Amino acid sequence: MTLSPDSPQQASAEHPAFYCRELRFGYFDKVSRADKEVLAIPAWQVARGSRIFLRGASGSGKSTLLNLLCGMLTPTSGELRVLDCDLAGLSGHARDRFRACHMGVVFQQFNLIPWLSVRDNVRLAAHFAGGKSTVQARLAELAEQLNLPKALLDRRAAELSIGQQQRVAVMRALINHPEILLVDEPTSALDQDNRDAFIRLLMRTLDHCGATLLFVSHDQTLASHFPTQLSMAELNQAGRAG
Amino acid sequence: MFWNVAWRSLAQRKASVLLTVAALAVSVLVLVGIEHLRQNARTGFARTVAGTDLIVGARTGDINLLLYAVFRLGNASNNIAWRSYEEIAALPDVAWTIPLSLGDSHRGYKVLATNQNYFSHFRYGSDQTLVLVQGTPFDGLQQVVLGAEVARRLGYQLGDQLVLAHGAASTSFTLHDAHPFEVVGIFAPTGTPVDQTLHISLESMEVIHRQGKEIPALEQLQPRSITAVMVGLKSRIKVFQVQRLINQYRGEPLQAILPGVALTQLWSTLAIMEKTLRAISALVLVAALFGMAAMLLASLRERRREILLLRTIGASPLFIGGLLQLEVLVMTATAVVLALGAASVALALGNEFWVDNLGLQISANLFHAATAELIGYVFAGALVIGALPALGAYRMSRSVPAGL
Repeated sequence: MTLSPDSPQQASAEHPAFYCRELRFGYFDKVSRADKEVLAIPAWQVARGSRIFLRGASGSGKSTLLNLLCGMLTPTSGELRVLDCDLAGLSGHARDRFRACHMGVVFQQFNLIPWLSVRDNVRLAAHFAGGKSTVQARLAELAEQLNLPKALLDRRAAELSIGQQQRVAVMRALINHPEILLVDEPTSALDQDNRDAFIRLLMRTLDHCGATLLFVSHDQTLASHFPTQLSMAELNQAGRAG
Repeated sequence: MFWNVAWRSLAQRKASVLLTVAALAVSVLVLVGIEHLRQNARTGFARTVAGTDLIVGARTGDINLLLYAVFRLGNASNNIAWRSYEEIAALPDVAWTIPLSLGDSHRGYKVLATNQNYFSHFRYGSDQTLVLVQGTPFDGLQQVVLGAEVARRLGYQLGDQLVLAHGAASTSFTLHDAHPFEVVGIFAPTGTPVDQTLHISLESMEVIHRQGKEIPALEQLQPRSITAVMVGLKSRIKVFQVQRLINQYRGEPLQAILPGVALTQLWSTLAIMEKTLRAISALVLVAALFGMAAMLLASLRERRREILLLRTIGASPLFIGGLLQLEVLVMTATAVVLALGAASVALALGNEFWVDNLGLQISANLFHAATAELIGYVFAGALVIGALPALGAYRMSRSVPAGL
């Protein structure tokens, strides 16, 4: 897997961030004793550098999609390429390494190990990507972009406010210069003011690093921040005839 | 980083971790302590008597004779006549003899009546003779030479007077108070029952047991019987020949034993006890290790989200499993350090107990090969049993994530 150093326009056309074709995921349901399809995406691709708002309620298959995209799950059938890489073809260990190096993930909650300091939380993520020597510099740079005071870095993650924790989560997700940022309902625990501030900060930080953003939320009011919008209902054909 | 995460993860669950470590430490303490005592007891017993070819007493069990004659444990079932002693001493193959007469005591310490041969021929450890740190051997009546512990514990010095008691109990109603003894010598410490013994001459023993009479002339103070005899031969090759000769003595039923052989018999008698103790201490350890595994397994449920988070930021299942194993190792190492510390303190404090009861010096130094071997087993056991929660964490981290 090589990442093209070409101009962004060209790169995005020929080397999409995500590429899915006839992607299916299902499992054997023990209760109904039948195969249950959770996700079916006939064709979908996301250009590099895009910022996409993906609207989906729980049960829409969004969790499954995110797990597939970051390689925590492998598809039942079909093709899925992430940064031109067929994740299903990698060994488990290589998938873990790929996720650490190329993707950042921010959840709705529990993004940080509560008993580790902010700094150690971020350094841990850097460790799994090979622990480069530039981590401290990158950490300082991100802390500044995300409005996180230096004094906060050595506090235990559990001592931070929810808003601060979510910003640290973004810092953690971006520490390894990932090409892709997956964000799942990061603002649902925040109030309206904090919510908008968080999104603005996220966008501004992304301006610096240019990562592809897939932002998943059920909150339609946030959609206005994004140039591209999509709903799970359109994307996921599972359970529909044809 | 790995280390840091493991350490902080443990610090996070202080209470349950500390209790687990305490349980583990106690079990390691039992394991190491028992093995240490066992080994020290063996070497202690083995060094109590050296250079003696035969021990002769009235007919009884081999081990019984060894125990009362050498270790002053238990009592003689019968005495041997002085005439028998004289005949044994006169055997052509016998180089020297030490007559031993037991039965009196002083404040719980046994009194041994013997003769000058004790000072010149008694050997212990690696063939060492007894050394007097102060004074001289007894030379007449009512003189006593103290073992090192007797002098130290009871605070006696040269020239002090003391009264012996009839019988072995620490409180006796029959005191030989008509015949006070004077301390004329004190032995250097030997780490053997000699340290717990008061030594007097056979004639003195005779005098205090002829109460109310005039003290006769020294030549008339020959004892009628003694408890046992230690025999040294001119040539060790003759040992079985002399043994048979004594065992077939017609005057009275006698028994001669080889101290080394009797000691081996003693150990083989005690082997089942030793094995049982070791098995119990091993089982206690296994129980503590299962306790640790159970604690970690229980913690996995609450750590589920933590594990998923680590997986999401790129930790491999191997990292997660390894993390649990590292926590096991950290707890085990802490427990081992605590146990060795506690054992050292306990041995130092318990020293007097062992000295008083068995006449054995138990070394407080735990750091030898046997301990290292046991600690090796502890860690091996911890890794094997700790693999259970590690495997649980590994499998959990491979299962379908629900947190995303």
